[in-house]
Amino acid sequence: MRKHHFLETGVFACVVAFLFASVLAFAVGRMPGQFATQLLTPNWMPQQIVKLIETSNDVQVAMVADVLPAEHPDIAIVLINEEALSELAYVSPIDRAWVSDLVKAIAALKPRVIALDLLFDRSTEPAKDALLIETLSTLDIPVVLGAADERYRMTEQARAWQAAFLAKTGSPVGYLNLQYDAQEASGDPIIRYRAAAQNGGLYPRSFADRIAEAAGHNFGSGGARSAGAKSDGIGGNRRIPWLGQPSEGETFFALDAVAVLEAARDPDGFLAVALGPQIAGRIVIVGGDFPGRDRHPTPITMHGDDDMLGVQVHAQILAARLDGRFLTDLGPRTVQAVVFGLSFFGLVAGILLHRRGKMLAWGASIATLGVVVAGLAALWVTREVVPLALFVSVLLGSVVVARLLVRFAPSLRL
Amino acid sequence: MKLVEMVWKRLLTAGFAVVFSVCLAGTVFAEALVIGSNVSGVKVGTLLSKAQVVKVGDGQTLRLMLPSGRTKVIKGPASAEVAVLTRNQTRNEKIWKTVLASLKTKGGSSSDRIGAVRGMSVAPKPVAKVATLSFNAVPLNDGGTVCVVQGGDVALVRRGSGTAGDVTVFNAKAGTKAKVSFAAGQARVAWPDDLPLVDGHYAIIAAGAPMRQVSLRVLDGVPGDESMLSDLAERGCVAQTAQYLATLK
Repeated sequence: MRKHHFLETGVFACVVAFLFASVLAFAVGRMPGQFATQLLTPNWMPQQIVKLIETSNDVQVAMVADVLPAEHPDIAIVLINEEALSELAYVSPIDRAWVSDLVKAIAALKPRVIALDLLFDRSTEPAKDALLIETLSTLDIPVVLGAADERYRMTEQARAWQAAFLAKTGSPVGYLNLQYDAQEASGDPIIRYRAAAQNGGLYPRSFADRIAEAAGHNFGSGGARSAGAKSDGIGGNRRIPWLGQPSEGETFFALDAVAVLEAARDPDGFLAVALGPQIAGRIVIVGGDFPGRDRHPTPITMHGDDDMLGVQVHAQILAARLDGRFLTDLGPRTVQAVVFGLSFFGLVAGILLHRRGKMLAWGASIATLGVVVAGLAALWVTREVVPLALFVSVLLGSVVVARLLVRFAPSLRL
Repeated sequence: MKLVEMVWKRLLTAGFAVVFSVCLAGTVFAEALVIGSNVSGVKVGTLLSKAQVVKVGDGQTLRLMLPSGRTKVIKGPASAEVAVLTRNQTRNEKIWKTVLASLKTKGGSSSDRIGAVRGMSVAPKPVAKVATLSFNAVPLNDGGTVCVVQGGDVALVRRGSGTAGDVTVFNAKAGTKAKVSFAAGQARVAWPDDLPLVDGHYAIIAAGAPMRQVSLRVLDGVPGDESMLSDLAERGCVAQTAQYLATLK
């Protein structure tokens, strides 16, 4: 009789769990990601737990950041800092004759490509503007320039000046825009993804893509690298697979603009001889390194003091494109399937073990641990970021729902 | 068996204690909120715990919201001891909730920033999306709760120049209404004299446009710097709270 009742209750529990899990999986599939996180982090929740939940994905991204044995072999960065501009009459925009000299100095070291991560949106001295245009258009090394596209707020005059200046150089131009995401709970912005192109915009390709193209990498007509669909920038996945800092040296070989200019003054000197092999054949990106300027929070700088320089963000995106590295989010169908499974399991366990509180608590704890371990294992193997907070919440939430159901539905009691 | 049960109970108690401590920490530690700062390493939106002492350097300014909702401005050189500043204050949840919500960057993503520099000096910031803080403008297009100052030349304001047309403002509770006329290109029309400017809900009805509802909170005067945030947030003037916070960033 008791066995019969157990079977009857078990079947009923399974039916209820199936219906509940189906509805939940359907709802999760239809719910925008940010809304899901906001549901998981209501206003009353302590800040520490909110942070834990909202950073669970970013921590995973930081965990699987690739670390090369040494600096990236193909990319070098030349940084313009305060010291470099200390003797110039004005510092913004940077003296175009000085930029011209810097470009020539880098070119003398025979890089593969020179890319300028600088904004050219207003005139300086006409003769110096013309000099830079002449330098850029006559250089025998490919030069890539960047532009702020239509999404960046600037005056129409500045936008027109930028377009005209860039067109006169004849260099390929990519948009410099970065995609900022609001961290769902705290609201602080962070860079997680590559920015997509503006629909119908003047600059259809990103700065990093233009550099890669200039270096001879072919992404095909849609911007996708033929090496693998997952590295495709068009198919929805734009998560940046960050490079961590190697145990020795920096992620990218970086040197000051002053050093490059010094090397150019004495082509046979010690500095030129030392820098030559470091720069030759590499893609060189030139950018600014000024206090409090052009610095961006990313998953791998979350717990450090310094945000990432804009030029470093572009270098990271470029490195991933060149290396064919990718990082994706767990697919929506898989997420739905896991939510269904966890919810079904949580509900059935909650109903059938409602008289065994301790066993249920232990089971829920072990299952939670299992979800976290399985999620991290999946991350390691497939390089797919797993929404751990969502999964754990679904599991524990289902157990709680089961307890409530049993309380209000006597037919579910054993 | 008894030993197992005892160990289990103690573990359970310890677990609850940990969870409770974390929850308590979340509420007790959130003693002061940074709403304006040019102090290095102290960002707007940071919650300062009771135990913290913030050094404000020469020429730097730190603007804090205290538990009561009042604002405290600390100009350097000085040390801000959160425990001292917040002594004997109870937290006004309504104000904190409104201010925290206003400080949050709204969800979603944007690509309106670039990763580049023009030069060393500060590049022009993107044009602020938040409108300027005002105590005499009743926005016709947005609705919501608006704080206005009695006798402060209050006006009905519409976005864009628009075409000529009449707008009826109706106070549902008092049963009073008044009609104002916008000329083509006119964005601002004075609050109608025949409609008393009092607290309450108003319906804004214009031909060819959906009806909007505005709740007015009438103040006797523009709040002082210390009470500006609490006065706005407590009355639910959410848009103006965000506008005020934007001026501090």
